[in-house]
Amino acid sequence: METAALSVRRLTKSFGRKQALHHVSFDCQPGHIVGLIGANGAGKTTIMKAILSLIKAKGDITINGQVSTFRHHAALADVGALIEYPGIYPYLSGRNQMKLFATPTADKNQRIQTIIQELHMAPYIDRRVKGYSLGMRQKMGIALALVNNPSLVILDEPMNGLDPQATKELRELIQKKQASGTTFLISSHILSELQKLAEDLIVIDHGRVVQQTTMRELLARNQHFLSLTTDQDLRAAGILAENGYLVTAHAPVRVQLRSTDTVAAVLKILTTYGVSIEDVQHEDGDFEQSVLDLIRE
Amino acid sequence: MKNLYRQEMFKLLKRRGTWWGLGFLVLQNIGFAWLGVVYHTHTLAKEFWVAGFASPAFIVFMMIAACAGSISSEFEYNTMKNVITQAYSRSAVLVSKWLAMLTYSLMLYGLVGGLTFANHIVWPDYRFALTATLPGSQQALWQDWLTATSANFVTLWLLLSVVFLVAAMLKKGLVATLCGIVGYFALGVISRLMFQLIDKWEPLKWNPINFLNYSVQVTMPLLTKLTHLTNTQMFWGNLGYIGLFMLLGLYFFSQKEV
Repeated sequence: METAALSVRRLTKSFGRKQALHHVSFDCQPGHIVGLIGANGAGKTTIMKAILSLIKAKGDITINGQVSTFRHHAALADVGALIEYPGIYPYLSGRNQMKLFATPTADKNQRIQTIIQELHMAPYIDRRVKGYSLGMRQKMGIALALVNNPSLVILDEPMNGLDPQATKELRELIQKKQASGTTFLISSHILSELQKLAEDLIVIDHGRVVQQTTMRELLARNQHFLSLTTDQDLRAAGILAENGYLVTAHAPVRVQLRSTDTVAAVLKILTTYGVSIEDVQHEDGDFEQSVLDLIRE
Repeated sequence: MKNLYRQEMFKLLKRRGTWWGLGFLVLQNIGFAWLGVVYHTHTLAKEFWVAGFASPAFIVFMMIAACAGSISSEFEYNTMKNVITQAYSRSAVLVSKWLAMLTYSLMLYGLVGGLTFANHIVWPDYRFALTATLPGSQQALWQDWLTATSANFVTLWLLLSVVFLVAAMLKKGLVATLCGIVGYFALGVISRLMFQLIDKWEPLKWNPINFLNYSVQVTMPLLTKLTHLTNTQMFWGNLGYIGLFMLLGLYFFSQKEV
């Protein structure tokens, strides 16, 4: 079996009397984008901070097979991270910021130039960070996380402060990095963005993992509907109901598809009865609602 | 460690304050030398030269601010996370900061030393033989200068070790800076009382504030009657306290959560 890019076992953390994490365990497989989901205060950032040795926590953390602790965290050499908000020196330019943290290898400048181009930061990269907007600072933080081409990238709310164009560019960059084998652990409140990115999901509630699943599995739990526009909507609804389908609306006709129902069968029945079909649309249940349901469970 | 040291030096050299400080020190040293020439009736040229035209006093303030800022600014800018989430331990991070500040202090002392010797060449009032002696001194002028500067450097680091300790414990640059500056001035304020207490209770001579007198004692041997310590004891005591405060700072910093 392939070694997990990140393995967290029985992670426990308390702040005074308040226990923030309760025996949290999960794995991130190499080359996967893993979404960390949970309400405010659920423990997402605490988990990320513990992985990054920023805070002390009980439990075992293994990165690419190498044990990482609060005191000894050589494994972080292959990890890039952006936690909470970007940490940047206001008196340095964006480029110098990256020069500071880029591993001094022969291709250092090339790596810096590549990430500048990928995040479209060229117009302001040589200006002092002091004058950067919120979005520019966020990109700077992401650039710092990616500049050493780490095999594991941990991003806490990476879309914060980004405009739609920048969000799209970041999404594409993450997907590109993933395609080349990078593993991502991403927390985000913007579930629609996470839906577009994450393959695996870890749902956290009150410091506990309530579900570790895949995006495909979670979406499969959603209700699926077929919306049909016909020349005889009311009659079509009646025909489908008589044939045992769950009709939830009449104009247009809306049918809930169960696991045994197929689109082809629905269309065949209607055409058999001489109903002319003008339009067919799939409707999926809400990802956000599925997550909320999971947390509520 | 090498990479961390490189990072610390990079940050230091990219700060405008570093260069403003160096510029200020050049102007101060030359300016004070000029004032010594203009008001030669008020200053003793040889003593003024040996004292490095008062530049070491300004270096103390610059170094206190730089050392306090080297830790507290990382928390202020939220960059401590970037520093810690590298492959290096917290101890290595703090040691790299010490080394960068040691380099900076050596740079400042080197600059001031160079300027002090340049003033000796440039200004006719300071063109005395460096092999001459000051009244009451057994050493040549250049040896007096070297002894005073070295002792000053050692006591500076005693103060800086406290500044590093406070900054590592509290994350607050202002508090650490104040500790350093108060420590610097405390000597003048409490020395009389401290000497009286040392006279009454001998073991009190080992308190760290008494060791700050080292830089003065090397140029004023009579001070040993008040401090109850020899220059050798002063030297090793300073090193001992520096080591102790540094180790305490290392302990607190290595426990620090970010």
